[in-house]
Amino acid sequence: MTPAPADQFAELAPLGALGILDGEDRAAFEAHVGTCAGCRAERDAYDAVVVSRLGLAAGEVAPPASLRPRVVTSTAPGAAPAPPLPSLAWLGFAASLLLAVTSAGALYQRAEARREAESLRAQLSEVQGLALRRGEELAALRQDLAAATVERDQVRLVQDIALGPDARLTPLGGQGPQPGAAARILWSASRRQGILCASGLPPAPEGKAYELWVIAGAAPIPAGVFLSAADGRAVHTVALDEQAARAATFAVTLEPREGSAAPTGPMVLAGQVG
Amino acid sequence: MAETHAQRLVRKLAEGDQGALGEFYDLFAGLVNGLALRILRDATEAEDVVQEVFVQVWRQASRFDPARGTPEAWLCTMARSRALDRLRRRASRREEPAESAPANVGVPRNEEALAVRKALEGLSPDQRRALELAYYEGLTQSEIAERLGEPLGTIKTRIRTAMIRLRDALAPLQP
Repeated sequence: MTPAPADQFAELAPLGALGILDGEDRAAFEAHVGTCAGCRAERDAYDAVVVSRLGLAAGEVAPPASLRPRVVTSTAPGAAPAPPLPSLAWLGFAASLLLAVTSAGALYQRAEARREAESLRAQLSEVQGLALRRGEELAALRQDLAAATVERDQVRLVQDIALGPDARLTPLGGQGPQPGAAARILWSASRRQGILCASGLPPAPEGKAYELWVIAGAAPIPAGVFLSAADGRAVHTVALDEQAARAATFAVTLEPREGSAAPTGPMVLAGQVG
Repeated sequence: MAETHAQRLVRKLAEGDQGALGEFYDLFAGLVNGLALRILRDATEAEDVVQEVFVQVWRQASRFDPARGTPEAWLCTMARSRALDRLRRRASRREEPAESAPANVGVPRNEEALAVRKALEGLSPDQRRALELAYYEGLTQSEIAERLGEPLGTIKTRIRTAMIRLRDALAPLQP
């Protein structure tokens, strides 16, 4: 009979089964489970009854038909059975004797051909495996290239604005809940473009984003939403319309992810055009 | 209890029956692809996971123990593990998540899948959200707490409560 699980570790069992324990909880639970059959059984029960079945909720989505031969052939090269020999039952005895003599040579050739076909199949599956790996590498490189292209465009924008006749640099200071945040907007009224560089902005909570506002008289003009990276930095390019080009103040607030038409959330950055 | 068709196929795979692999793929590729797609939100990456899982199935069919769970559960565990591995590798390269495929496009394959969905709908929205972050995004309890802006203790209790409710709802279920 397995002993009853110790209470504190029994509480961790479902979390352990889900794989979400970290830090001291994780170390303590894994060490304990090594010696306590009750807690091990409790964790395994949560895994069997709940965790291993949760994936069923996602539902089925058939992959493209082209995937099947790639998977089945490259995994088990002999999975496609060799074609069967044709039936000789309808022939008479003499005819089948004559056929037996001449077909000996044909059978040898057929065996040769089958050996060659098997060799080609093996080579094909090897090439398919190689193509799959190259495809993975290519996908990874594409992702890196996309990220690098974004950064290159940002650098070009900075160059274009900075080298123009009316480049302005407006500093913004941290406000309200983010006193440690800071930013500068490099912008040009004639180019109707700007680029905001911020630091000390923690990643926005779930479902939220930062939104830039340009205040040039009456109501604040929305100037795009952006997110910050894990290190607190953010870069956001802005298109300034004719009215926004007469900006007097820039501000950043925390808004719903899709942005707002007017500021509703707390202000985190603000700066006046000097 | 009599052997199910799926269990028989796994046994044949363990015996090295290559013909069984195609049939096994036809039965379960949609299941693996649907789960990988839900986690990775990228069709190409999901297909790579399908390939990896069926290679693993072929190599480890002899380790499958029907007393410990169904072939579906075994596949879900492998698919989730490989998809989360890819998700973590992707996260270390870029910051923004790619949201290219909507959630819940998959079709439930049978009554067991419907029961799991129903059990999840029986949770409160907070409980479901926390569980989804744990299961589909592979976040730790601390990461979930930070993402939702809640104290760690609250999240642990919330997830534990959700897991107990799910266990009660799903324990009577016959595989």
